[in-house]
Amino acid sequence: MIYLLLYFEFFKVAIFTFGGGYASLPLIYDAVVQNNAWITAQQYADIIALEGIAPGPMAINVATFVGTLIAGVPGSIIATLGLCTPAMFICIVVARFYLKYKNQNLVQSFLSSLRPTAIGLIAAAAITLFLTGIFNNGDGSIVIENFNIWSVFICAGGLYLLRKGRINELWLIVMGFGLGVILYPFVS
Amino acid sequence: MDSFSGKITKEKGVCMVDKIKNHLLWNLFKEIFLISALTFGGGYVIVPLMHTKFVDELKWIKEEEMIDILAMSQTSPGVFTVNASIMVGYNLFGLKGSIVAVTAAILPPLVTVAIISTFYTLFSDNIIVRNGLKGAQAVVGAIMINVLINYSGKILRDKYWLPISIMILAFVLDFVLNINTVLIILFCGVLGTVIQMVLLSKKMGGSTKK
Repeated sequence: MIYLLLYFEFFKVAIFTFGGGYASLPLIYDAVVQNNAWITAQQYADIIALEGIAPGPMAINVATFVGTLIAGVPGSIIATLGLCTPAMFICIVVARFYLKYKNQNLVQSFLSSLRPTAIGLIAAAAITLFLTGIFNNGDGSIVIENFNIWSVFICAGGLYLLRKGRINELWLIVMGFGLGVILYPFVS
Repeated sequence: MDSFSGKITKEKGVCMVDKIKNHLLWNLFKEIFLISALTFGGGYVIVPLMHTKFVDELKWIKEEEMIDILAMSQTSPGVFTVNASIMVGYNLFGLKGSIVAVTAAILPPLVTVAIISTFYTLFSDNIIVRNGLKGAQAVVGAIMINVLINYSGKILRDKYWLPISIMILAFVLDFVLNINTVLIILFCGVLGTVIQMVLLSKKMGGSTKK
């Protein structure tokens, strides 16, 4: 029974999440802390702080954490499935529509306006992530006192290698992790 | 006879391994799994990773299609990474592709979080993990700026005012005014379409000979 409820709570969260991971946090809070009292507000805050350690999308990580706390490993799988089911239907409908009508005039001009919009949004995300990287706290928040010259060097070096086409992004992330482990103990 | 049939099955066995290795769905699974496993710092980081893999290296998707997919994943409800994986999978191999892609996208976080929550205290104060994440976050900034240079460079080089102003408008609405991204996408999309229609009808009206 708890599994079924868990599934539907996260199904609901997914349907009402519009525009990125942060939008889902208050919805998950309502579902698991307020409406069902499965975990406490303090536990929820701990989960959000810890979430950054795991790779992958934030909403999935939080759902997995909450699911594990409530009902163990099966709980984590069910919460994640609940979060992904609506997307399966909605995205396939959208993708079908796209494949069918992408050459129509009106759709073409709509898409040609969406492309620069998407790039503008990527610009905003890029600057936020760049600032997070330089003023980082290890948990993703921006704190001006945490300005870190090593991060500037790592970031500049990474950008240089990428522009020259010398390195693949995935390897760069692995390298960044390694450099962080080696260099940061000597700065703070 | 016996040895002959034995030889065939053995050859078949070799073929099966190769078939799985070269199978497109397996490749799709492998690439999305790797991307998802190394995405630190939020959904947008998959944009450059997917672009490098599927557009530049494998050439499975055109650049324009990739940006279309991103815009559509942003507008659809739910988790951005999951939406983008489903759409990439569906565009490439239909329903099968989307199921493979979404499985590959959610497995790495599922497994990692299961491990972390089991050894909760071991990770929460671990200085090595914390420093490593700081380093990863620093290069993530570089990766995002790199993809931004590539994407916006194309628009800026075309020197056409409409897409350039839409791009700047979307940036300001998001970064400065903090408006919900779905609203920004819908607003900019409709605005751009209307402007294009108006320009087109003006052109048609101006040159009656055509």
